[in-house]
Amino acid sequence: MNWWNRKKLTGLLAQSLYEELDGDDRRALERGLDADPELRAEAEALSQFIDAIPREQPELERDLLPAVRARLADESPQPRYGGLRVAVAAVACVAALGLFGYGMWNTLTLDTDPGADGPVLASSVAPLLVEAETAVEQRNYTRAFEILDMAVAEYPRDASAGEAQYRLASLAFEQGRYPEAFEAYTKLKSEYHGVLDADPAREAEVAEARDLLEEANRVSYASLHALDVARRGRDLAQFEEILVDYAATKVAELAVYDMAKRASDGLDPADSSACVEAMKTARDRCSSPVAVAGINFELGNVYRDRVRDFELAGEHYRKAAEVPVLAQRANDALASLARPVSR
Amino acid sequence: MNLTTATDEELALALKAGQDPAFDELTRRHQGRVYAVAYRLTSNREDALDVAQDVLVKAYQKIEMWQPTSGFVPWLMRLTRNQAIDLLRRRKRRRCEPLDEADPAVRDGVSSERDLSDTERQVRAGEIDARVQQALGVLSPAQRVVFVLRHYEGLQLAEIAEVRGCTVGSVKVHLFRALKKMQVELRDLHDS
Repeated sequence: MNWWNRKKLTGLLAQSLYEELDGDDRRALERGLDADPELRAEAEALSQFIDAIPREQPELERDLLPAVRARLADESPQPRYGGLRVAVAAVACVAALGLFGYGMWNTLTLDTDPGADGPVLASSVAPLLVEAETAVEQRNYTRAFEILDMAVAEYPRDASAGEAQYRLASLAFEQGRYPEAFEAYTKLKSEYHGVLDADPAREAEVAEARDLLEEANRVSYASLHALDVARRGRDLAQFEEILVDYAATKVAELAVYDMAKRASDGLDPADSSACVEAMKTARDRCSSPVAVAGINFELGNVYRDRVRDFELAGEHYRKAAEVPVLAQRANDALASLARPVSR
Repeated sequence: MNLTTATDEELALALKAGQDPAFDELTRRHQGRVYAVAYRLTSNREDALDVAQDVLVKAYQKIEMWQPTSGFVPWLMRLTRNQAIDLLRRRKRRRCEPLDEADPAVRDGVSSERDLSDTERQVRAGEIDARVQQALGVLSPAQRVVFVLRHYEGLQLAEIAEVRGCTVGSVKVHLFRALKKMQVELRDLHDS
């Protein structure tokens, strides 16, 4: 049996395990199974396997409707009908006056980017998103990058262009292509803000990534590359070097957490006490006062934000403030403890 | 329109027309499956709750994007899949990765009022579920989505193709590969 036939048959086989095949497909599968005893054995084994996997789904133990309604009430009203009227009016303005440029049209149309949740058939970019995803699954990241880059370049006003831009930025970041990631996130924020407006979590993620890249850009992304190297290695000393060379930066914050995880095998990050202990373990293995101060600063943050022990938070901020490069940040953090609203 | 007997598509059309109570009925009907699918994709109950809420909020806010030419459930599953994938991406970048929660059947422990064999069965079911959930982790995102929507949610392959924006042939390939990988991962469970 050639490769193509086998691929088609295995597809039919998978389908037949769950659905009734139509006449032609059923006959094709039967012929294939008759001709290939190994495939028939595989079919039977898979059938038994599927029967052995329970189908129960985890139960939702509470009603989400009240929380969903509360969120809808809190979030800016989405003018589902007003938006459509504004969009229609905008079209009329563009047609009648011919004065508004391409950028203004983009601003006036409220639903600028429904993203990949929108109607797939109307979008030229949507199938390219799937193609890029396939390339990622095959670990062909260069190809995925090319596809997404081309998609946005060729179809900048497509309904899914914003989603493509977001994925391009994320992929560049994950692959360590930091200059491109910075450029892509900046473009995402300026030209496809609709993708972020509708999703506060995504907006926060993008803001965090962009801030990190903007800061690292000042040192030609050397700090991020150093962190990548440290993460691939086994040596805690490499993280310590980052805390010294890039003290008081966001990359140093990330390095503290990575160091704590590495210093304590099996760290449960959801457990604040475990986090504190892991950071202390990492701190005890540092020889540089700057690195120690950096970890003390992050300990202060954990005590303040997670453990809610403001005395211990203050104690650690004061220790961090003894090192000049961290003094400003540590003193600002101490001041935050004094403000009633922060508690 | 009687909300409780209306079809999903009738309710979605009503919501598009501005009938807000239709959303409440749609939420009641589908919040469980959205949560369940989110859990299978994220392997974390808290994340699944967040995803489920996000999906329902988005469904309300973006109801204009749903077209009556396609089913409401595939559209909702597409939102779920996208939100889950977004969360998994964010999780990769968080300083600390969230732990999976223990399955409640195991976490909640034994009730002294329960029959021992019922408890044993529940614990065993929880263990199997945890193993299956772990096995889902070896699948690629595409394979996982296809498997979860077919095996647990019972969506037809054509509907899954709509969710993923790909061909039915592609869905079949993903399903076969997912089954083979799961079979290898769970060989001991199957053999026992």
